[in-house]
Formats: sequence, C-alpha cells, structure tokens
Amino acid sequence: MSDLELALVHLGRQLDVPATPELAPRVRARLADAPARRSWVSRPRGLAVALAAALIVAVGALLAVPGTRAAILEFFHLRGVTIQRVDELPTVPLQRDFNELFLGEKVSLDEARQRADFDVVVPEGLGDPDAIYFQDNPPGGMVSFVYGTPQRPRALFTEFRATVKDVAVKKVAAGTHVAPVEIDGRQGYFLSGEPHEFAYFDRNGEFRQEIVRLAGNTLLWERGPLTLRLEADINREEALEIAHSVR
Amino acid sequence: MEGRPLPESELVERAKRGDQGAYGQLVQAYQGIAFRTAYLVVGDAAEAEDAAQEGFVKAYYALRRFRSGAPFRPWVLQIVANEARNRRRSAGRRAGLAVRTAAQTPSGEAAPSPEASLLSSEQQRVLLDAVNNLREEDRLVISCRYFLELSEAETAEVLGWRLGTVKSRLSRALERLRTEIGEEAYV
Repeated sequence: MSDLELALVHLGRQLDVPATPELAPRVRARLADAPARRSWVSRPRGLAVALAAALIVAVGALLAVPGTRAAILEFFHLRGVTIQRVDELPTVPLQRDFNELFLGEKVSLDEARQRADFDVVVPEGLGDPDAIYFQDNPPGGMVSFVYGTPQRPRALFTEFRATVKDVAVKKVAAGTHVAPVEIDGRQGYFLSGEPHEFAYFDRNGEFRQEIVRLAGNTLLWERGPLTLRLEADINREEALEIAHSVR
Repeated sequence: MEGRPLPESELVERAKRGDQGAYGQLVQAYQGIAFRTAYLVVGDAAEAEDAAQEGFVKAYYALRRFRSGAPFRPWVLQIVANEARNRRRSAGRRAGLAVRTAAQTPSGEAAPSPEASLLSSEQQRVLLDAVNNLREEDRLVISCRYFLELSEAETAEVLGWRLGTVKSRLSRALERLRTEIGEEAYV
C-alpha cells in the first residue's frame, strides 16, 4: 500500500460515523410480521410472483418434450426476472423477495390489445377475467388473465408470441405426467401430477433449475404465432374444453 | 443445548430454510459494517439506518439466490449498498463525511495504529475534503476499499462492478486525490 492508501485507511478509522443502531431485533420483527401481510390482496407482487412461477413450472416441464422446446425457450430469456422458490401454488404465503419479478402491470383488455403486438385471444369458457396483466417481455409482450379472487384464483391463462432460441434441456420429475394433446390441429401438452423440475434464466443470464410443486394442472398449446397456457384445478377434458373456447 | 456459536455457513443454510433466529444472528454479526456502508453512501444517520434495515430484510427474501459456501458479507453489503444508493439518488445532495473530534473518540478505542502519525489533522482535513469532492463512483470505490477496508474482490461484489473496473477506478481516484492534495498543499 502506498502512503496515500495508508493515509486513507487511517482517515477511515477516524471518520465520524454515528453508532450502529440495533438492527437485528427490528429486522426479525419485520420478518416475523411479513407472512401475515403478504396476502394476495394487499401484495400484488405476491400474486405476480406466484403467477410467474406457475408459468415457469409449466414451461420447464415442457423443456423435456422436444416437440415444443423451441416454442418456449425465448420466453426464458426474459430479462430482469428472478424466480424464487414457491412451495405451493397458488395460495401459500410467499416469503421471498418479489421486487425483481413481476408479471406486468394491471391493464384493461383494451389496453392489453393495444400494447401486445399480436391479436389478443380470450378463453370465453372461463367467463370474464377478474384481472388482466401485461408485460413487455418476451418481445411482443405477454398477456395474463386471472380468474377468481386474489386469495383463491381459479385459473390463470397466459399468452405470448413464441420464438426460437437454443438452450439446455432440463428433465421432469418422474411423477409428472406430460400428455400430448391436439387442439384445433395444433400440438399441445397437458401437465399433471408430481412436482416438476423447472429451468429458467435469472437476471444475470445464469441458467438455474429448481423444483416447484404445481397446485393446479396445466395445459400448454400453440395457436397461430402464440403459445398459450392455462393453469387451473381441472382435469384434461375440462382443460381441452376451455382451450376450444379461445377466441 | 450447546452454547457454541454456529459457523456462518450453517447460519446461512438455516436462514435459507426459513430459520429467522439464525438470520438474526447474521444480522447481528454484520449490522455494524452494513450501517457503516450505508452511512458512507448516504451521509445521513437516519437514512443509513433505514437502508441497512431494508437491505437486511431484502437479503433474507433473496437468500435463495445466495450461492452456498460463498462469503456472506460482500453479498449482503451489496444489497445494503444498493438500497443506500437508491435513497441517495432520491435524496439529492449528500452531506460530506467528517472526522471525529477528540471528544467523540470512544474511550475504549485502541491505541493509535502505526499510520496514525502519517497525517497531521490539517492534512487529514485536506484529504477528506478531496474525498468529499470526488465524483460519486470514485468516492464509492475509495470508501469501500479504504474506509470499509474491503478487499478489491469484495469491493467489486459490493458495487456490482467487475474486478478490472474496480482496479482502474481505484487507480484513477487515487490519482485525482494525489492531484488535489498536491495542489492544496502548495496553495
């Protein structure tokens, strides 16, 4: 170290820094207090994280299915998204940092139609959505419809334009069922059963994989340039019925 | 019940699993340097306190991102420093750092270190003025490296810069300080 550097170290030790406040008890109080406040009603980000995590679960499971790999992967290249562990979807309190992850902003259907660069479709079989979200990523935008109350969503429907991008493939847990289905002549998959292993890119572009348990079953399919996704506590026939009601 | 303190890595693993008591021990261990980090960034005690507290809360919820076995200190300091920098941006002009007066020096303070004789109080004032006048990124890198006494690698992690960037900014900042002190000395 040069004299100047030593002088700086010495100066640092002489700085007038106020005494350290006792932070530990306050931090613990904040943490102990958190789960109760973190309901879907009062914390919209909690909702967003649950929805996003649900989406990623299904996409990750699909990675094991070569047929639709290309259709899903661009979505993983979402920037600025960090997925946290979610023990159970969708009603368990999420005790993670939600700040860096969001499904988008709440919008009206008209607004979603204006902002997405594709023709937004709606699953009429589910009735009117209770909330709609839009976000800019992946390119072209992603629109999500939520049905039910925030505490107990019945269903989540998401649509985005899929593009091709290569990436590593991750496996699905043994107990997860991935059943190929056909909807209007296009390929789709119905995911049900055990927890899925899912893969995603975090905000640093790092490839990660985690295990998540899916509360509802999921149908993923393609329609025109779009990839559609429906998650709800429904069986395969009910899911297909809703899929056919998409307009 | 055994009274031996748990190693940091074990506390982190427990905290990751939701053990808030274990996390409290980590906060206890690092609240001093976290508060100091925040204070060096914002220059205000109340803001620094808020930033450090908020940083610890955010870090808890981000623990899943923490790589097991990695050092916890620079990781948590990065979150605290970010929190402080955000507050600093919205707060506008920051108060300059000051040197403790004799009356403020805690009585339990260790004996002066060998470098204590390096600078007279007048030289110290000149040097501190020069640091206070540095541009933000230079002041940050000087604060981390010398005032917090972090390694270059830790400084890189805390500021979210590459190691090469830390080295070059450090050398540039030192050069600026040399220039300023030199000029001051001859005025």
